[in-house]
Amino acid sequence: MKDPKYIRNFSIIAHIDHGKSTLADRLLELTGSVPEGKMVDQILDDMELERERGITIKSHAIKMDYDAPDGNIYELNLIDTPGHVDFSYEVSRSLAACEGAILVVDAAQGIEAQTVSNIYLAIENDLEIIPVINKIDMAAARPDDVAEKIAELIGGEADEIIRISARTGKNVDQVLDAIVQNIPPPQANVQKLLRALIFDSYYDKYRGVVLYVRIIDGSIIKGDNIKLMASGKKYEVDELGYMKLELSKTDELVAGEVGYIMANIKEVRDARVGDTITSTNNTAKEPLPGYKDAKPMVFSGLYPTNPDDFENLRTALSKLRLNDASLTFEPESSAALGFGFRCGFLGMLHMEITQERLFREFALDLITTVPNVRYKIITTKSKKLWIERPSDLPEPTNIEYIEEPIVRAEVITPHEFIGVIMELVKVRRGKYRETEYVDPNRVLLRFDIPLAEIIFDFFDKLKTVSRGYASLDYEFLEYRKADLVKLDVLVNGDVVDALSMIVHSEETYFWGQKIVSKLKELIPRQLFEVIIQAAIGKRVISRARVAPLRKDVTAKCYGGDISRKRKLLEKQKEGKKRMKMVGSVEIPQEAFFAVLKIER
Amino acid sequence: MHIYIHIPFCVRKCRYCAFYSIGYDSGIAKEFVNSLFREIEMMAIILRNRNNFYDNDTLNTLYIGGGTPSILEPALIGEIVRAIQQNFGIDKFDEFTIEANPESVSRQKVDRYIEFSANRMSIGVQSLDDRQLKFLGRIHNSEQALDAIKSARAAGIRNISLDFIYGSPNFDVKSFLPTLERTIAFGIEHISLYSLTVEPNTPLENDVRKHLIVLPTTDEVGEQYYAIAEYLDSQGFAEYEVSNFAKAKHRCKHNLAYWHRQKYLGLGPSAHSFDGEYRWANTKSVERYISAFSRKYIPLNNKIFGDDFAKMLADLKLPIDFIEKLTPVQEISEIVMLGLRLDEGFYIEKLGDYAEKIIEAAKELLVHKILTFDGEKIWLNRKQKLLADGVAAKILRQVN
Repeated sequence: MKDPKYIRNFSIIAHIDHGKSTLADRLLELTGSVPEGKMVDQILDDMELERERGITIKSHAIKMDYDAPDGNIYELNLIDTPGHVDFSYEVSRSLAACEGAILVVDAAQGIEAQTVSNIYLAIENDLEIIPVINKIDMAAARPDDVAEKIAELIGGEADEIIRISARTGKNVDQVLDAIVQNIPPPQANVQKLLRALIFDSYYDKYRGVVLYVRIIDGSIIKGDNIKLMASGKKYEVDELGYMKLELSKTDELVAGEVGYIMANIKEVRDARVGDTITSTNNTAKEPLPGYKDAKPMVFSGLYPTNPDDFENLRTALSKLRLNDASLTFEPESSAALGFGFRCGFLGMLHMEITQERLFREFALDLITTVPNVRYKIITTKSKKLWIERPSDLPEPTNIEYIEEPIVRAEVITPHEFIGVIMELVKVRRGKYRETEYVDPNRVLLRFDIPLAEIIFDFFDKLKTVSRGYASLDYEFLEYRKADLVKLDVLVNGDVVDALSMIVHSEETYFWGQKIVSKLKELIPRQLFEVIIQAAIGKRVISRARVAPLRKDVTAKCYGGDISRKRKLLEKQKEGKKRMKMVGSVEIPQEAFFAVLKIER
Repeated sequence: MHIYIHIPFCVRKCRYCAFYSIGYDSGIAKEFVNSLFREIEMMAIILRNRNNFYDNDTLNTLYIGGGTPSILEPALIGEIVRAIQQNFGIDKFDEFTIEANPESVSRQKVDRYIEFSANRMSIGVQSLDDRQLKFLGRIHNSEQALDAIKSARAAGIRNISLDFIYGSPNFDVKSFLPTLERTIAFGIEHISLYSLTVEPNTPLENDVRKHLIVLPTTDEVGEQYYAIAEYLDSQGFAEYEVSNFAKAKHRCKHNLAYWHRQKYLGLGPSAHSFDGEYRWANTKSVERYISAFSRKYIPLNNKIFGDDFAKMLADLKLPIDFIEKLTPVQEISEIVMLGLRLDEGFYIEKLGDYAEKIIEAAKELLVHKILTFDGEKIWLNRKQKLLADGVAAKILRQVN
């Protein structure tokens, strides 16, 4: 049993691309945690997608044994956190498992929105923050400036801040020393009733769910009967151990330690991040604070292009859910798209990643509908309804009012872009709150904005208007009343439910015209005329016509060469299969995303 | 039976042409004809042993196409025809077409063709506008074209077909219709009307890609076609297939065999064959074709005749470009695809188990008056003829 005195639990927090994973790589190397020849870049990011996108999607943890200059061997538990706002809850639980955090700031980029919110998170969790300025070897590095700003934000002396290059390894040893010297050892009491925090979990197809835990109080051994305080589920511990590069079995985990537990758990949703493990017989009085149900914020319909793939899609989603407690899905049907699933995601990144994994890992060709948020409807009979897709909105006469989710957003930007960003926020129905100077050149803008506007293209637009300099962070604030209506799209007289959208009543004409002309561009000419209309209820507000084809011949029928002709036909047929039949009209997949391509 | 012979020679390659042909050379032509004889002999034996080619198909047609068959010494054509007749045991052809290009047609040649029992000629007129002919890369002019028609007529050919091209840059229906009128005045029986198609790897494709040439839009080309078709209808030419028009009793029996999915044997480089089960094609390369049939020993014996036709052709090392055995879905695709091009359409009874699915898939198009269904067959309405491929694809997407 390790004396808690020699344990340090810490995390690395950073804005995307500031070098978190590279620093982790160096720490692993320096402590000899990676056997020679096994090192790859971003070793903790094991999902192909994570390495490609340069982001961490899942949390990870690893135990390093550090032979410190003071002659003691320290158990350093690095708890790596996801680096995206979609996963801020997971980040908060990972931080709750630590006593300290290394704050990595890029020497050229400086402090960004996410850096600030991560600092707040770390402070909320009473973490000792060790600031580190990274990438000092870069030509554009201005470590002195950045050090000043960090000191202003978190206190302390600017010139004491460690300056490193994770890429070359320069000064990384100083980080290790700081971890040992500055981060307090865990306040651990082995005598108390067991309380362990689940800060991550994943599904292994051979062994079931593996929980990553921080033992806060008490201890746990193999065979213990455990209970999850939020879900109420009970299990028997099968195996436990430490996270090294591979899982390494042990007999007991005690207060202060970080490790893994397996207990025949079938799905990650049965043991959610943030839940507290206690003993079935000697149940702790209070669960650990901070548990939240992961609530999906963004919804989208996923439909197989080939209707025969419906069951395959269900299987694929079930498999992903084994490992993703935040993903929700339920079958839905659309008159336009047939049978599919309404899926809930934490945010846009979570959605994109899920779609991409369905495509890559399960070879599913999908049509995804435009993402939307969850609306709260109060009917004239004072009933409360939650709707996750526009076509479910009740008749206007039955609606007393609608509420939509509002987020509190923070943008950090060089001050010259304040004007364009304010304009962007205004056009997207945002309400400005306040401005803070982060440093003489940059400001933090705080505003409230409908989530629906953020999930559209806000981030892309923000990057465009600020030439890539502005950064964004946001969190859910509340539901607020809004004057919203449903805009329907009709193709040859039939409402295409998958194209319905909820828009602000003052913007109906704008959206009606834009969507109709965009669809006219995207819907190819067919064998007969296609009329596209946008309507509010029964009132048509915009219309366009796609003229029928006059000639649609792929090639001549040369002599006896029927094979060539038939092969061309098969190609044409395959092309048509990639389109969705809505009534008798063939609509290409990108049309269902048309609204996202509209310029405002 | 239906036999096609490909003569792979041309004086010059036309700008738009993707057919296989090489420049004419009398030495190569001689070697080619010798190989052709060898192929005729072999295929006659093979098909006799396969025992599935000579069925109750009562018509015999021969089509000598190319390339430019009229480039060959007429005597060679005569030898080829005799070889066909002897090896396949055919006395008389119900229809025997020779393709010819105007510049190489003469009264003497046509007389010889008639001697060999040819009774139909297809002449590549393409246009009577000399500027158009030049653009297309043709080597004849309008005068030669008219002379060729006259010669064929004077020699006694009672079944003449002319090829025309529309849809080319600067093509103008208003000036084209008088052209048609002039040729129809000779009493011709058949017209093939092809839209200029940009085929891969042709000089035309190159010019279009470099924007040296701007083609009319598909809408414009469509309007041209329907205007010409209407005119031909008024002159007593029935549109019996997309791009083929004939006076009564002068539909091309040989081409109808393709479109009705009857068996046919193609001989010569790049020629295609169908035996009701397999489709195959010869190599496009004249060189490969000649050398394959110049071998001293080809192991054509009883051991070689098995059930696997593809294997047999491979064992014989015949110069085959590809061979495919049709799946039931491919058969249905062909019936629909080819049927939609014909005025009569396709017959439901030929669709077997797929009949219901196809009728269901056609419903929407019946409503939009693109198709007609009389309970027996489904056809594409005349004003929608150029939608044949799109309609076929739409119907067939329901069939897997």
